[in-house]
Amino acid sequence: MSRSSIFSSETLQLSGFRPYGTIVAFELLLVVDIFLARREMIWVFAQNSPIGIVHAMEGLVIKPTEQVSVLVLGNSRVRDAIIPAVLAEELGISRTNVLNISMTRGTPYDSLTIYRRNREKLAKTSLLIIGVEDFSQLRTNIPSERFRYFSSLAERCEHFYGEARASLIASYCWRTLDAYRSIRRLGKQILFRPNQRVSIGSDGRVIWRDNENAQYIDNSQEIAERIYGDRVLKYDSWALRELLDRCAEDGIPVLLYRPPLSTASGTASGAARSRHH
Amino acid sequence: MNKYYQHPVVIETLIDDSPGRLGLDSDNFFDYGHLRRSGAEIVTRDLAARISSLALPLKKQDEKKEVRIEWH
Repeated sequence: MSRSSIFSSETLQLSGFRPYGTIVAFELLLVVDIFLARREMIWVFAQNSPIGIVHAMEGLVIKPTEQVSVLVLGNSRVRDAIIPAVLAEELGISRTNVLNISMTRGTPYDSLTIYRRNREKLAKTSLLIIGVEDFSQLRTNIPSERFRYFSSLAERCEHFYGEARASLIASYCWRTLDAYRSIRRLGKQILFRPNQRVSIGSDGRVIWRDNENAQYIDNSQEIAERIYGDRVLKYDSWALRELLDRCAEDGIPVLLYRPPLSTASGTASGAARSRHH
Repeated sequence: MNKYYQHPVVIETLIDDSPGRLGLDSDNFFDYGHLRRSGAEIVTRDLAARISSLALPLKKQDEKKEVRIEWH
């Protein structure tokens, strides 16, 4: 057969394995993984991102507080519902003794994470109020961005299954899989807008919406997502159990609290539950 | 009630879906789930009353050591 024939299989044969391209590609991935995805700065650069807000609250609110008497952990409903200054006044304690570290899209896992990371200080709390919701007991198989950042290998294996578990195990080794949202966010901020800092009010809570006209403040799009939207929060009851176990070890009484809902919420939350589960 | 709510460390479970008990109306909410400041003040005072009824020994910071904290 002529070598010029388009049907010749000879042209498909490798004349010799040349792995240079493969090695270069692997090295590039390794460089991105080591020097980008594994750097804390990538995750926390945007303060109003899911991870950035945790670091902001730890550094700007928890760290400067000397004594925490009442600690509140939960989601944005709890953050909006419990005013530290009012609670302190009613209980007759100092305003700086009450912290509300609740955050948008906050789950029991996030509360557990904050408690674990700041246990030395938070274990001296006299009362812990944990926000709970009906849907916090619904098990989902979609890990949150915070879970991808804070979770251990054992938690990744134990609490998820199927493709989610495989993805979590793979990304534990190759962090770029976990960090791609943060890397993309960093790229967008460098190219299109300045760093979006989170606004923390005088009572230590995140300000995310104008109280008068109900408009989201302009730099909080990422933390201003509705609970009953298309992206229903992913809660896991095991995290709540873990947090309660730690509180028992530290001798902290816990009050579980769910703020009131408006009368229109029953239909909306029911619709959200049926859509997702 | 979920089994985790019955954990020994839980001293109280306050779950109240009825805004009517506290006299809340739609003006007190941003939307169906989030309270405005006006509603939050009512809710927080109610929560404080329920905590007070538990008679917990809340640690108070020594006034001499109290440090003014600005989170801005």
